This record gives sequence, C-alpha cells and structure tokens, in this order.
Amino acid sequence: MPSGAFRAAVEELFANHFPRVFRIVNRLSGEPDLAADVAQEAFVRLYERGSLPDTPVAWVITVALNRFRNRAAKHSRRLRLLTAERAARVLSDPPPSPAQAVAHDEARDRVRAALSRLPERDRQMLLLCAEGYRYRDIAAALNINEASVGTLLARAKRAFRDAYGDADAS
Amino acid sequence: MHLDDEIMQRLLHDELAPAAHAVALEHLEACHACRARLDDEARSEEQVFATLQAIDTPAPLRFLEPDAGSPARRRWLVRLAAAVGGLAIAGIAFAAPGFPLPDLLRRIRQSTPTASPTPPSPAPEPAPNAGIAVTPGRRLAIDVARGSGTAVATVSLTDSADVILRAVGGRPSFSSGVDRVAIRNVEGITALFIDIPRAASHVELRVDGARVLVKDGLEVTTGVRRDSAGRYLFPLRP
Repeated sequence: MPSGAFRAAVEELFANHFPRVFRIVNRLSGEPDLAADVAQEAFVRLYERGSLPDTPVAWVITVALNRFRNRAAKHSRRLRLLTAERAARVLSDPPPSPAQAVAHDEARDRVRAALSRLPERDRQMLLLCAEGYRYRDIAAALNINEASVGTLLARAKRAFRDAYGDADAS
Repeated sequence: MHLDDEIMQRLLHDELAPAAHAVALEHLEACHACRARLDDEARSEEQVFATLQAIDTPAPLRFLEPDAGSPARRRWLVRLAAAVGGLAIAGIAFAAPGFPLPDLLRRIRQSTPTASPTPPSPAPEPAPNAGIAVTPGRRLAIDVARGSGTAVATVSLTDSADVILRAVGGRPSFSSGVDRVAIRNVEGITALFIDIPRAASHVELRVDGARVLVKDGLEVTTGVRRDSAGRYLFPLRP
C-alpha cells in the first residue's frame, strides 16, 4: 500500500494540477467529460504507480496527452468542434441571451479553428505555457530540448496569432 | 546584436539563469528596439491567453479515487463479478446430485484415523485487542458509543494510509460502510486507540452521535487539548 507521505504528495499534485490538466485537454478536445476523465485517469495512474517519478508534473501531463491522443484516435473525435448542444449541457450558468450565445459561439469556433491549424506540438506547447508550466516540465512532457522551448514557444504563439487573424478575415 | 526569441521568451517567463538575466537586462537598458519588442511580446501573449479562454468550460468536480464509471473501476467490478459467479457455479456443482467431489471428501475423511474426538470448545475468551482498519475516502465518520466503564479514546494523527481503531479488552464489535466506521459493545473495553491519517481529507469522530473532533484537511477542530505526545483524549464514560 502506498505510504501516507506518497498519498499526500499525490493529493497535493491533484489539487494543484487537475484543473490545469483538465483545461489543457478540454481546450484540445472540446469535450469536457472526456477531458475530466483523461485528467483524472492520469492522476489515478500516478497513484497506482506507487512512487513519484523524477518530474511528476511532466509525467502526469505526458500520460494525459497520450491518453487523449489514444482516445481521440479511437473515437475519431480529434478536435471536433464543441457543439452548441454540448456547451449548453456543460455550462451551468444561466442561459445567455440569443445575441450573447451567437457571439460566444462565434468566438469559440474562431479559437478552435485557429488551434486546429497549428501543428500538434505548437498547440500543446501554447496550452502548457498558458497554464504557466515551467520550461523544464514543458520540455519533459513534449520530449523536446529544454534549451529551445522559448524559440518554439515564440513560433507557436506567432502561428496562433496568424491563424486567429486568418479566421477573423475569413 | 539584439535579443533572440529564446532570450525574449525566457525573460517573459522568468526562465533565465541569474547571470544570463543580468546580461539581458543590461542589453535592454541600452536597446530601445528590444525593450519595445519585449513589451509587444508581453502584450501579445496576454491577448493570446485571454483569447484561449473563449473555449473554456468549468472543471467538473472530480476526485483522486476512480469513480464507479471509470474504466479502472469497471475492470475491478468485472473481476469481482467473475469471482462471485465462479464461486456460485462451484457451489451449485458441489451440491448437485451425482457430483463426485462430496463423496470423495467423505471417503477421505473416513479413511483418515482420528486421534481423539474434538473436545468441546470452551467459551471464547474476550479478545485482549480487537480492531479494524479502513481506508478513508473523501469523508469518513467514526461512531463510538459511550460505555459504562472508564475507557478513554486516544486519537492520534499518523502517516498511515488507513484509519485504525484498536480496542483493548471487552468484546467490541466493529462495522464499516463507505463513509462510516462504527464500534459497538464498548462495555468492558479499557482503552480505545484511533489512528487518523494526516493525509485524510475529512474525518470526524462522533461519540454517541455528538461530534467531538473534526479533521478537515490539515485542520483539526476539537474541544480538547492535545497531550504532550500530540494525542487527543476523550473519556468514554457516560
């Protein structure tokens, strides 16, 4: 049975990082239920592992991204746009006015369209950086050289701005 | 020579080593173009990250334990169902007329010499120690009934993963559910030790239904003081 200290460490990681890992996978997938499952499974896997890896945060992100990739491939759901029906089911706020709903849907579709045009690594890098992860964790999670994270990140942000601008123009 | 993308991003995200950071700042002091570019980068990044929020939805409430619907839990349920099913089939087959195993066992018993008839078993002695260990989930209530003796419940916080109840003397009985563990028949016990994991998220101790200690996260709320060993003592006298 895992020690109390290990369990406490995993619980602390879960409390601090579950919302962030969820947000990353949700932004990638547009499916909150899938994102919550994938994020939760990554932490459960860490707990079942019985000991902390060298870079626990990067380990959890890697597992979550791999799980998302496998599931997305299996169910052909990759980057499917979040439908209005799903959004209505997920958001618990009072329903917006028709005009607000249209504006929100348009903004969401534009962002999704821009993200979908990025290469997978740029997309993941942008979302990891948006969550404030350190370069060390980003490099380990995406299996890239830490010394070039800044350069790749600058490129990813530029690509997103271009894609978002194109979506605006179209 | 101007600052490159790598240095710019690392400046933005505070990822430069102190020496490199000092060199970059020195350059920025003298280079208006790089200062302007760094400002642009910071503004642009802020806009990009704000834009991404358009596709966010609130994070659902999830816990570290796999829920009943998760694949891992489903696998366990399938295994459990298979084991129960297997035992049931074995039992039915054993009892079925014509099944050879009962007869075989009877023959083996008859052919085995018996040393002496088994003496009548004495009335069970009260166990000097009895206890139960349960792994707490998100919440766990420990229910203790007061006895008529002079027992004291001693509560300690431990690094164990389990809530452990140990009673000394008497003939107590224990029961546990998903979010509750209870000790009954406390007459005659001389001491009760309760270990609560420090990592447990929410555990409360109730004596005759009244909450006497609540551990919520790292915080412990109770009306009694800790002794010199850091334990909480609750008399179980009525």
